[in-house]
Amino acid sequence: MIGRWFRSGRGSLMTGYRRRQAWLTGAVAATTALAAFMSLLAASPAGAHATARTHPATSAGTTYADGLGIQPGTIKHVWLIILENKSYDASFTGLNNNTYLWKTLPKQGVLLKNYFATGHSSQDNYTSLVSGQAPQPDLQNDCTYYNQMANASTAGGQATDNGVDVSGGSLSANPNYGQWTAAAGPDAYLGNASTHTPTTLGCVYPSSVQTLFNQFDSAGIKWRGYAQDLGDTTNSGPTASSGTGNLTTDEDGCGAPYDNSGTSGYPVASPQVTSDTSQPNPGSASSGGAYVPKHFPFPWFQSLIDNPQDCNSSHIEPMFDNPGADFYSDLQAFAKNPNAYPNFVWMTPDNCSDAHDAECVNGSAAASSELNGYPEGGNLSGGWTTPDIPKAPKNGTGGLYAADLYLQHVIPEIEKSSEFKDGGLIDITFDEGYPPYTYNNSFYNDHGKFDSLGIQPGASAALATDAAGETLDEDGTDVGVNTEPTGPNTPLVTDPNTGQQLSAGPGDAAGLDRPDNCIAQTPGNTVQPTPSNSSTNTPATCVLGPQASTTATNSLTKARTDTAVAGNAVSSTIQDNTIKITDEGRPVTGTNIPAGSFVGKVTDGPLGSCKGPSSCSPSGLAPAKIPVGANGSTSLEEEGFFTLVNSAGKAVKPTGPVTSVSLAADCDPTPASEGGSGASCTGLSDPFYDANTATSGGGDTGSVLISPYITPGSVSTVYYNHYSWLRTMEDLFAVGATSPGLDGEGHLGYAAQPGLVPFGPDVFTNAPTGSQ
Amino acid sequence: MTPVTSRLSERGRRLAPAAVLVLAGAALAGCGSSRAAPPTHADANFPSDRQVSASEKAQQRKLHEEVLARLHSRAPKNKPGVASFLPRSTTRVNRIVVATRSHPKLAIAGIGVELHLAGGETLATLNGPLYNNKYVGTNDPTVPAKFLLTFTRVHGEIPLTAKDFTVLDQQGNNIVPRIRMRGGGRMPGQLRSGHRLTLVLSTVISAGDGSIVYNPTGITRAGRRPLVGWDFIVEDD
Repeated sequence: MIGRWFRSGRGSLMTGYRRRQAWLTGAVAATTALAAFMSLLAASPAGAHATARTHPATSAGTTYADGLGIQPGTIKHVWLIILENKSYDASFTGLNNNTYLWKTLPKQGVLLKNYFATGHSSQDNYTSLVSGQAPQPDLQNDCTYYNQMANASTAGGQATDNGVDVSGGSLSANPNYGQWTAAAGPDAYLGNASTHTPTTLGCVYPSSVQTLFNQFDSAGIKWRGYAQDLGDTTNSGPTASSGTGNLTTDEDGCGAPYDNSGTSGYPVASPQVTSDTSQPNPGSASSGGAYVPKHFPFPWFQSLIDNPQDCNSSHIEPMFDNPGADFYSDLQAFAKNPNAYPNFVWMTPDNCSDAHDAECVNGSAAASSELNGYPEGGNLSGGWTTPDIPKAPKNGTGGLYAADLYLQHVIPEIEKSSEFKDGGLIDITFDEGYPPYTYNNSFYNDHGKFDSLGIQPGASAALATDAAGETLDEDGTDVGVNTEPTGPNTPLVTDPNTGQQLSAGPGDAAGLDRPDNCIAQTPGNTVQPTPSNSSTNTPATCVLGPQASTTATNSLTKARTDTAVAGNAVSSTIQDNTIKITDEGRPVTGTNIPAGSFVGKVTDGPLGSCKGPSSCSPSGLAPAKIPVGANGSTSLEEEGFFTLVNSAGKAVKPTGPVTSVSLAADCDPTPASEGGSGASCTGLSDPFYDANTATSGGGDTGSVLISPYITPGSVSTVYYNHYSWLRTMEDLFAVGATSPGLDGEGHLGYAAQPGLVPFGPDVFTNAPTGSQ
Repeated sequence: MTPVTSRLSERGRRLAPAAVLVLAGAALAGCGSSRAAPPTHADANFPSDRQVSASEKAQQRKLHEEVLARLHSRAPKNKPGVASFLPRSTTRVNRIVVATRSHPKLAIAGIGVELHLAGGETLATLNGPLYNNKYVGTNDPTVPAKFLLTFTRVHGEIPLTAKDFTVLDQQGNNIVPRIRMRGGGRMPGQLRSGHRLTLVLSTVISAGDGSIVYNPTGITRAGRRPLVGWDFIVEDD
């Protein structure tokens, strides 16, 4: 999972905004005439969602019921391989040069250039994929604890089905229909509203939330889920139980973080307070293995874990290292009994093989020693089973490099199988992508753009090296830069004036600057806005963020006084060794600090990182020592500086020597009666807030699908996302007859959105001719 | 090579954002409000839900039976080996790229970069960012991180200075990392034939995306271009 991205209005994503503005200019020109607009819709992939179940793809292939590009039942076996956190740019452009993922796989199938994730961070994407449930706060936060969700008792004026809104019968009329709602409200604050104590709202969906696998069960479709390192002794993290749970009868069998032996009420009921660490959800790899439950969707639904027929070794197995009952063993064993092989296979590589970790936990001795105790172990994440022993990543390097080795090991094995040759479909995708813009090829190129805009002097000389021709600007303009689409395939919050994406939807977006009128900052205000109460409740464009009142306990934004500070009347630069990037925009007070001052540009880095004018170090303050080693045994010298600015963002100078500064919490103009700072915030709002600064959403991850029914080397630019994927799987196996879903056609959650299309003839470019 | 998008689809891709904008605008107008309502899937442009009739239910059941029959049907026994319809790759995937002055490269950790310089050649491989597990889950905005940059297959003489390397972090900070030799000692002034050495680059960087740039002549002179940039991601959650 990619972490929360802390940005000020001047942060890196401002680039996206500026590009957008340039793009808007071009867009306006392109859409001046209605005729142009109509032709645009016809040519544009986005037009796919203008009308229901139509594909504007270039393919002339047959479209089947619901817009599916292949006759249901033709695809007999699906292998979904889901990787982690890489944008289309990173995976399918020259940045990922000379790799199997970029050079080989797209040649074998179809490259979906506009396949989008649905949220951020990781876990909500996994649950959305298999259930159609939109992101909700705790899942967006990758679930600190393994606990039950606290269900709302009512929704839409009538009782829920364990939190699921059953008040409407139509997603058109009721967008919340079929969606789970928290007891604290649909956009509830991630934490305890009354005490400001961080808690969780729950992470395990109640049994009322059905999944694709429940649908498969009812339709007689065989499925299995494989996870690399599943069942390793300590793969549940340092505080987990021994992992000796019964893999055939307990929730552990679905890859849950805990053995429930001797535990009543498992998962524990929500809310789970922070002080109770009995069942935290390990979010990172440990020395014993790199399986993380948040990347495996099965244990997060009680509709699966409560069913012993699902959580057993017939459905959930380790991927490797479990001879007789793992991915390879099954592939070989079922070759003798083809009809027994699963129709659907879910494959979750571990945190090394899925490109998540930059350094595999069982990485190199060099890395271990450099980090003074970083876990060191054997080879690639638990090893591999015969017949093939792949190369372990050199030096324990993870990321796309390790993922590439994994793919090159696994995919040919599948491609050799009879199951693949007879109606197989290999689907390689990512849970989310970051940055959320696409076709820019790299972060560095994007910052090169900064340079040209004069925003980031010093980030000079962008590289223009992408052999795929998909580098920044492509043809020297910003036209062609894709941003995330709105429409039925993504639950994004957008700016009402520009259409700019503001967040990946309701939920945790900590660290974002807030508009003055965004009273969602008030703990306890969990009431959703409606036309009648929009003046008093959360505007739709607000997204949740750090608590901003003066009583905030959020360590990143609460008021504090820094004493390792040096400044003078000569320079607007103040040395503050504890300053952080996220402090930008906070009100500053102190001796000789002019009234109405704020933290401006922050430089926070190791000694010597400030290479600006001599005023960087006005008094030669000694750098701070911060721990680096596992036991804090080593340290790195750190120094920090910020520019003192006024409410207009202009640099101002202290009136005399400065030895300490007090930083107020991000000021919340919410009335004091509602827990904010009210009128006292007047003039103290973050001068850098920009409502148009994009936030990290699911992002374009791209996807590759390989099948006998897909022409090798084809490309689709139709917009798809995780909900499209779910709809496709439901349609491929025609589950509607036994599992009607929300629309009576077998589609769960937002996969039932009117207008959403499954993979069409642009994907199945070599589908056999069949009857409708 | 990456498949080349057709002209038509490329045009569509370029115009797509505009279409999205217009659609979004239409949705907003349809809402009759100045605020966009999340989520946007309830866009008025989209057709209403259908009601599934009894006859359609019957069709669903028939289709379901047909699907089950197809799933259980078997094609004639396939030939062993990789599926014949898949193109044989003529491209050697060795995860090594070549960077020259005229063709600098972007890369990621683990990919070997063959650096061609005026004075010689070498293979550079980056490992990292490395940061301690104690920072995972903290969501700290900044993280002390290290990178291991290994030079092997050195031919000729390649000058080496600390200012050759710059780290650009998520927040746009341009940082010169501290550099030392792994195993101790100071960084040599040049790489020579037969050298194999690993540099340790230490810095404190913002969580998120970033890049390490290697510019053998320094980055401060206008008009100079770096030879290679390694993109990386610091994930501390």
